[in-house]
Amino acid sequence: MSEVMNEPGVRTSVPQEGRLRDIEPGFAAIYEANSRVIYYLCLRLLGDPAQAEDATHDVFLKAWRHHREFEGRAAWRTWLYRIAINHCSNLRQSWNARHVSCVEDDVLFQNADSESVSPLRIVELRELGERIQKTLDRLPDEYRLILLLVADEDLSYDEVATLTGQTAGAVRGKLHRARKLFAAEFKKLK
Amino acid sequence: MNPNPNPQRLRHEQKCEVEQTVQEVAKTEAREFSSAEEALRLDASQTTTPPSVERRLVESILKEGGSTNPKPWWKRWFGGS
Repeated sequence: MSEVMNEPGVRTSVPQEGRLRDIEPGFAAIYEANSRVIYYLCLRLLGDPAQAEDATHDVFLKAWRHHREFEGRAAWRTWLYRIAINHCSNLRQSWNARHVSCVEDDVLFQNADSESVSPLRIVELRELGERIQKTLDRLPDEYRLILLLVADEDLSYDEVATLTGQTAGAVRGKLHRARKLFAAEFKKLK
Repeated sequence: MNPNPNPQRLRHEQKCEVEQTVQEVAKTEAREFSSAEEALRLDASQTTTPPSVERRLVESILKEGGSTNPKPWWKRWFGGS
């Protein structure tokens, strides 16, 4: 049993396993339902498990601070995604300012055209995560985000559109290009 | 069955069996995906949130004076709503 001091002389005992449901059962349900998808989004946007862990913690802490104001207004997942996207975007912007290397969208798309029809294939499942990360890193930020959001089957196209600041029709169009680019880049990493 | 098998032939046959097994295992682990989303979904299903995230979150919430539903110690130890 560990202890946390909130005020001078006031100690609150916390079980060593640190379970959220012991201190915030309502918010714990939100965490349990959404932490996996949020962590996965952070992991694939940031490309590093330690940074993804920090980001996931920060996202849910922000959500906890404001969850009473939010309750009932919209889907929890969409709101959490919004916080996570903004958080990761801010982190990436500071990195890009130091390490700028991107390929023009048109160049990528032209190279992708002939490579995208056949299925994506990997030899072993254990290489999947690494190969996906390297592939996503080669895509423009917008395409990377659209693919990650659309992969979540609990999000509708309208929700993806809201999260990316465009219409559902625009999402569909960009999704088509994003898929082709992903397939082409994925196959290069054999 | 030959009661006096040739050792060299035995070793060769065993080596072939091992190689065949490795190839079969590799074949069964190979996967194909019809779309990027399918690959991402499988990848996501194999990814779990580190338990340390929840522990850190609990500490952070408590440091901010959180817990709107503090349980007495005996409820935390022995359960109950």
